[in-house]
Amino acid sequence: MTTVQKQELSVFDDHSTLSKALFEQGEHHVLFVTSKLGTSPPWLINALVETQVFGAPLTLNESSSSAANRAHSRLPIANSDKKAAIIASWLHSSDYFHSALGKLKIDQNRYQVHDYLTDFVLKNHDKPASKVLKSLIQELTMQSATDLLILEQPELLMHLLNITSDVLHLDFINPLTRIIPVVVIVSYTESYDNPGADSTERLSPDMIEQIRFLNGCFFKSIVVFGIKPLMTGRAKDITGTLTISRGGASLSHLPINVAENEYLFHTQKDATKLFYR
Amino acid sequence: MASTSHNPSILLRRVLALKESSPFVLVVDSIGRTGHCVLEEVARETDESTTIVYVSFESTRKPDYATYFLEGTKSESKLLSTIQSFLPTPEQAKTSKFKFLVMIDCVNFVAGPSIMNLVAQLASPTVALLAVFHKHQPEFRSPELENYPSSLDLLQFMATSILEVQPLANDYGSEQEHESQLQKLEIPRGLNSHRYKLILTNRRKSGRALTYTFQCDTQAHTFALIQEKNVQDGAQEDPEMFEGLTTFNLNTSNKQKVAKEQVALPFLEAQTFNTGGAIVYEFEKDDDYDEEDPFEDPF
Repeated sequence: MTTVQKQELSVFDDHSTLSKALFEQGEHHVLFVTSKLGTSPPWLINALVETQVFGAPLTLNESSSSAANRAHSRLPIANSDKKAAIIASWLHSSDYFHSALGKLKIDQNRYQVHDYLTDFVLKNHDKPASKVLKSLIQELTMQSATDLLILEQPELLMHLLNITSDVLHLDFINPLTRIIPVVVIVSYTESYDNPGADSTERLSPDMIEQIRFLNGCFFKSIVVFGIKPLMTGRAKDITGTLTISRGGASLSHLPINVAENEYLFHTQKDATKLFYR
Repeated sequence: MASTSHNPSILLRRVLALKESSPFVLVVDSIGRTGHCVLEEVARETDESTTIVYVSFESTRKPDYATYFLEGTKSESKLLSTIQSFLPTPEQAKTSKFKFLVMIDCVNFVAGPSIMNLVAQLASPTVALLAVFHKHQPEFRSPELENYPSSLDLLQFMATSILEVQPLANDYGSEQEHESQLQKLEIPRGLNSHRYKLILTNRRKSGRALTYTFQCDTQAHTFALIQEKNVQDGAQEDPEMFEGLTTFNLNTSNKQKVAKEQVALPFLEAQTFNTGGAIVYEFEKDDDYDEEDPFEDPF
């Protein structure tokens, strides 16, 4: 692998990871991250936060030590009053993100983590779903100056609040995308198995809601980051593949387009590197 | 009208420009190719004076071409009354010179039985309804309604024109590979590009459905008809097909083929409609015709 050339993460055809065009006045977009068993996406979440803070995913594109040095010398691209990103996770605690982002030398004041793993059920037990969703929206948009919201596995709300996919989309995802310029939805798609419209196979109600939610996320998104393991399993020097492809939403009104690409990635200790396929 | 049925490209342009008498146009899409491209083409082809009411369940951004932008709600009655507040009343519609178009970016959010009511209430000769349906979106069906048609079946039954968009696959193998990947929500590269396949089904007043397949380009705004080569090839006789099957010679010579093509089949004459659909009675010498009988049909 030493001879293989490293590759920088480029999502749009202006060679950017998060293009400035996405944050223009009146623009609202959804990015969709899908992951499978054995290839968890926190490194990509960290890279997106880092992009928002420093302008590029330094740790992903460079070696860890040089990235840390550059992070020290480089000033954040926005003023410090504004949160660069807000992370809401139903899968990881806030300590998890503080630890991971701390290693990337990102100041805790630059981002905010909402921990909905630790005591979400205790706090919202017996409350009506509509009220819980409203309070969540209120919490997440309180820092109205933020431009990037990352939702890690919001599909769990369907089971936690006993609501349908349509309610989750219409009463939670849509209101958030209306307020925040870029919303990143990170979902786990290992159990997704859609036999299609022509199939006579009967799906369980839970599976129907799961598929509807994930499909809905696809149709809303402008770009899909698909993370999956290698077809042949995990190799010694390759963890999996990252496919960047167009989502279902139209980009025709923007001056940019999605730069579709497929990368190999290798996660070792705390660092992830991308390689040419 | 007859000329359009012979030119599929003109028919498609007329459907997109809402010039065909088609109050309900259904756009069927999938993850492989979403239907936004068709909505944009319709907005481009229609007159600028057309009032476009865009009802969105998926996007929070008002498209540039939309006159009014509404966000979809779960309550069908509330949604209907909101949309209707932007449309003319039947009395106003009679005198109005302007066209109205309601675009719904995804009717999958409207629960099965309510869809019919929504379509019936909105689509009319003065208001065209253009609705997108994601065909791979599963829907919950209660056991009592197990044999009731699916939402897609109902919409396809009601639609006067159906525009199905599909990704443009290079060959059958890659199409199958894409399908198996999409079944697991693994989105391959190259889908949702500016080139796609469009299958137009247009229902005539007689009930006859015309189906054409086009290769479209959203950048050049071109619609090239794809000839169904497979069907034609399949209809042609392959001499090797009959080899070794029997001891008889089942192949036809060129002379026999020419003779076969020249045979005028009876149903072709019936389709000419020269007689306007009337029953043609030819009087014969043995027929008894009573002139005094008022109910006697002279022909």
